[in-house]
Amino acid sequence: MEKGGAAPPIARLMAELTRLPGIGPKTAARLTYHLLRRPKEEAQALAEAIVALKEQTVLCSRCQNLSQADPCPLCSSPERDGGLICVVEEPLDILALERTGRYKGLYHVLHGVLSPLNGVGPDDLKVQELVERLKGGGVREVILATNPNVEGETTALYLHRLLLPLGVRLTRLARGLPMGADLEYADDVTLTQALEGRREF
Amino acid sequence: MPRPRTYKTEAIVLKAARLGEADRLLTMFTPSLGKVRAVARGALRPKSKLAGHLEPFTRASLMLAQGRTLDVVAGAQALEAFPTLRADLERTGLAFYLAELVDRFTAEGQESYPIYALLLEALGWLDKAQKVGLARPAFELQVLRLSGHGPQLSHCLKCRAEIKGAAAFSSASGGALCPICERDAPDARPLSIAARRAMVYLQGSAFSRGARVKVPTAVEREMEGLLQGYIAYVLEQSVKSAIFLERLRREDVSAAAAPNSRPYPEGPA
Repeated sequence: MEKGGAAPPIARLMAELTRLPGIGPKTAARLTYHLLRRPKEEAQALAEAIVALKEQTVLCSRCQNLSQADPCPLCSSPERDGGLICVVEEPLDILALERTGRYKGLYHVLHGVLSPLNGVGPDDLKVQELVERLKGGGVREVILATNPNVEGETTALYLHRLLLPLGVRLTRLARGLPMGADLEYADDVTLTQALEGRREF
Repeated sequence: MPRPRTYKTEAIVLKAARLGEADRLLTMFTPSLGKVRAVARGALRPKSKLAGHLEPFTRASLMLAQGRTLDVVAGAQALEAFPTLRADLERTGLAFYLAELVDRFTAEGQESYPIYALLLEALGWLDKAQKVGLARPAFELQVLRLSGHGPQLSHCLKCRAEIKGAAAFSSASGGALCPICERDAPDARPLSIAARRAMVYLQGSAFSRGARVKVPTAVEREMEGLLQGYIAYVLEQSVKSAIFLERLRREDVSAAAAPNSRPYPEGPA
C-alpha cells in the first residue's frame, strides 16, 4: 500500500491500525490523522487503555471468561443461578446473551469451536474445565449455545456425548427464523426446525 | 474455458472459512468446473440470505459473479442439506474427512465429474445408510483411483507376479509387493489376504456397493492403517480431520457412550 509522504511515526501507527479487524488503509489513515489533531492527553488515554487491556484481564477460573477479577463478577454474583450453565464459543457471545437480560444463569466459554479441518480438537478448547466444573456438582442444566453452523453443531454433539454420563440435563438453543427475516430466503434446515419447534399462538 | 461474468453452477461446499468481518470464503466442488473458491459476502450476519444455504456438506445451486481475484456468490439455494448426517457426530466427522480428501486431491479449476458424483453419493450414504460400514476405505480407494493414485493390488509391483497369498504393502512403491520383493522395500508393511481382497473389491466397485461390504473389525483397521499411511505419502502430509475421527473412536470405546447419539433430530423424525 502506498505510504509515500507520511512521516515514519505516522506510517507506523497506520500500519498497526490496519491490522485491526474491519480497518483498511483508508480508515487507518483517517484515524491516525484524527489522533494527530486531538490533544495529547486523549492519545495518552487511548494508549493506556490498550496496555491495561492486556495487563489487567485474567481468565475466570470457573467460567473461563475474560475478567478483571477471578472469579469474575458473574460467577460471584449471588443473583445468578449457579445450577444453570450456558456453554458458548467466545466471550463476545456472553455479551450478546447478557444484552437480552433474560438469562440468569452462569456461563462457560470454550474459547473456540471444534474444527477438524483446522486441526482444532477438544484439547484446544476449555472442555476439560467444563467437565471438572460439572463433576463439582450443583449443576442442573447445561445449555449448549454454540453457533448453529457445522462446527458449532459438531461441538454440541461432541459435548452431548461427553457430558451425558454425568447425568446433567442437556439442552440446545432453539433454531428458527431471525427477526426481520423472509421465509422465501430461509434454508430448508432452518424452516424444518422452525416448523418442528412451533408454539401455541 | 472462459467463464461469463456471471454463471450458474451446482456445487457441494467442502469448507467455509471466515474472511474478514462477516464474509465467508467457500471452497466448493462443482460437476463441470472442478474445485471453485468464492466469497459469500455478509454470510456471517444473522440476516444473511446466503448463510444457511452454504454450510459445509450442502449441495446448492449457485449464481456466481466473477470478481477480480475471487468469485462472489450472488445467489444460493440449498438443494440437499443431508440433515441426518449433521445430527450424528461420527457421520459429521466422516463428512469433514471426505471433504478434506476431495479438497486435497484436486486442484482448483480442474474439472472431474466422477469425483463430484462420488462425493455426492458418499454424503447421501452417510445421510441415509443404517450403518456407516466401509464408507471410509471405499471413499479413500475411489478418490485415489479417480485422481490417478490408485494403489496396484493384484500383482507385485516389482516382479509382476500375481499375488495370491499374504503379501506386503509399500506406500513408496504404490501398492502390493510379493513376499520376495518385499525385502527390498524398507517401508513395506504386512498385507493380509483378507485386507487385500477387500481393497481390490472396494477399488473396483461403485462406492455404495463397497461401503455395504462387511469385513471383520481387524481387517477394517488393517486397511485403515495402510490407507492412512499411503494417503499421507501421496499428499506428503497427513489429513487433519483423520485426527478428529481417531479421537472420537478412542473416546467412544473408553466411555462406552449411549449407542444412539442423536439428541436433536433435524429431519422429520
